[in-house]
Amino acid sequence: MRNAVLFQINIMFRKKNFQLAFLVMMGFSILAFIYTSMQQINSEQELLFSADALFCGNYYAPLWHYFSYIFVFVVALPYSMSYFSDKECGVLVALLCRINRLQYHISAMITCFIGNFLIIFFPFLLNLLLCHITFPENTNFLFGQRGTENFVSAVLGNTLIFSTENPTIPFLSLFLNNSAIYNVWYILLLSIMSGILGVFLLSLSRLWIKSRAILFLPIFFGLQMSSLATAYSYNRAIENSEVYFTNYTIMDYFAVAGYPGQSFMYLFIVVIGLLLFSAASLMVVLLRDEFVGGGLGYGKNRRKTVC
Amino acid sequence: MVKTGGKQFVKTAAAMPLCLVQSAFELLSKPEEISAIDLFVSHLFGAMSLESHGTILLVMENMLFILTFQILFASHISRNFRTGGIYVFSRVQSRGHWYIARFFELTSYAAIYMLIYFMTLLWVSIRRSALPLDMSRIGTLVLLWGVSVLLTLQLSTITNLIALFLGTAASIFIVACGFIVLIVLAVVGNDIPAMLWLNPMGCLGFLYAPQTQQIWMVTYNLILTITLQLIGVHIVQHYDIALFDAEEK
Repeated sequence: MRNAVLFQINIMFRKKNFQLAFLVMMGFSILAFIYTSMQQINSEQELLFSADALFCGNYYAPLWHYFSYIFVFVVALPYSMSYFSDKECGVLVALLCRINRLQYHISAMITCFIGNFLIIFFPFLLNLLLCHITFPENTNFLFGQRGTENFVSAVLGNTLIFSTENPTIPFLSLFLNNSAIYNVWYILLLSIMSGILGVFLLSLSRLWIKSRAILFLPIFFGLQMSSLATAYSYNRAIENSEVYFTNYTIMDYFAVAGYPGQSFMYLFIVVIGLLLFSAASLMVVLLRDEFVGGGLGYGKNRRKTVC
Repeated sequence: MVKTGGKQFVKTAAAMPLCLVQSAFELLSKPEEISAIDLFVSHLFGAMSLESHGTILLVMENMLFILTFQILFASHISRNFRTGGIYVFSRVQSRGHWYIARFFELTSYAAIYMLIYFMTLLWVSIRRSALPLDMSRIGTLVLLWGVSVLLTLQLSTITNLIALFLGTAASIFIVACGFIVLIVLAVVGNDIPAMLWLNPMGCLGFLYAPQTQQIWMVTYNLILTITLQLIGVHIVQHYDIALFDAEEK
């Protein structure tokens, strides 16, 4: 298994889609840093925000909103299309002669997870590092100076105009103890989620996707739906103070100091759902005949292949 | 040529369910005393409006309908190069003419796709609005439809041309990133006139501007579309089918 994973990682690093995704994320991380620096360039020393507050993964960072839209495309790029490519160019036969099917599919999933993890983890870590090198480590956060009334209200969610299960910012004690580690923790969470989404897309491509391009849609569509559900929940909570607001927007769960109203049960259900789907897809693909149907490239489906 | 005609037109019907799903929240809400056309425009462009400049900007939430078209038709031109390219191009008299024919196909798909999307959204807006439809403002919708078709054509042409060299997935990703960058520039640089006049996303804001600016919005998008087609003809005529298969293997 180890050799199979190393072999697939080797292939992934050579794929231009992985290189492109990594390059774009690195570009985003550096651009976000430059943009933040330009915003702060005329500020006086004591008014500068803390390095941790200016991190690009922060919910209030100017480019976070835009990143959440790039993210839906980035997660599909590194290795989620590998099964599609292997089948399309006929290399799957050669691979399955050397490693068994279970090893092939599991190693592809592990590689996909690692690839998606890397393209998020290192660029975001670089941004955090650049922020810490450039900006002071003071107590001046985007929602107020630490200890002030604004800060306490924002952190505890005292000023929210709706009722919610979790009004405070998530992992509050960690945030108050060490905001730098808090940021690293969120980078780790976002990278893991990116990995899980990549594995989900790979699993989806095994079952029915017949075009690379369509692979971009499920996550985009899912995130749009989650935003709509949040808007609906928000309106209901505003109209009726007894109704709790639940934040269904998945990306908010992975932003530092994300929007309140997060329900960890909801996130747990989403993640478990994605993992169960991936496991079920693995079972299906192991049980079916790889070269007869259920996909593309061979047998009766050969003519249906569209790229 | 691979898979043309009816099957491709069926893809354009995706605009209707897409619009209905995106408007689910609107469909569930109670009618409001807002003009249906204003609801239509705000739904299409999002909530961001810069009243001081009299402009509106296409925001991220609503770009799904344009990007869905890119995804559905990302390989409309490039797949001919990969699948049976030798057979197709050994028979056509001029690759330029062949490309122009594909461009007109793409134009018809974009026009129908946008028409379906606009009609569905107009139905949702009329249903949501408590006021009668102001027929005198239908011209605004026609103008918006025309510009949206041109914008979609520009993006899908770029996607298809990049797909020749880098493959479908990479081309969609690059165009989506470029699209996001243009929106960011339009939002961030809304104080700079050049950013509004020369950026196709900023240009969209001239919908409610004086007629001169509206004419500029249409002309500029038309020039961009024609320029891209000329670049496309040049690339297709000089593209070596035998040496390249850009799809990621």
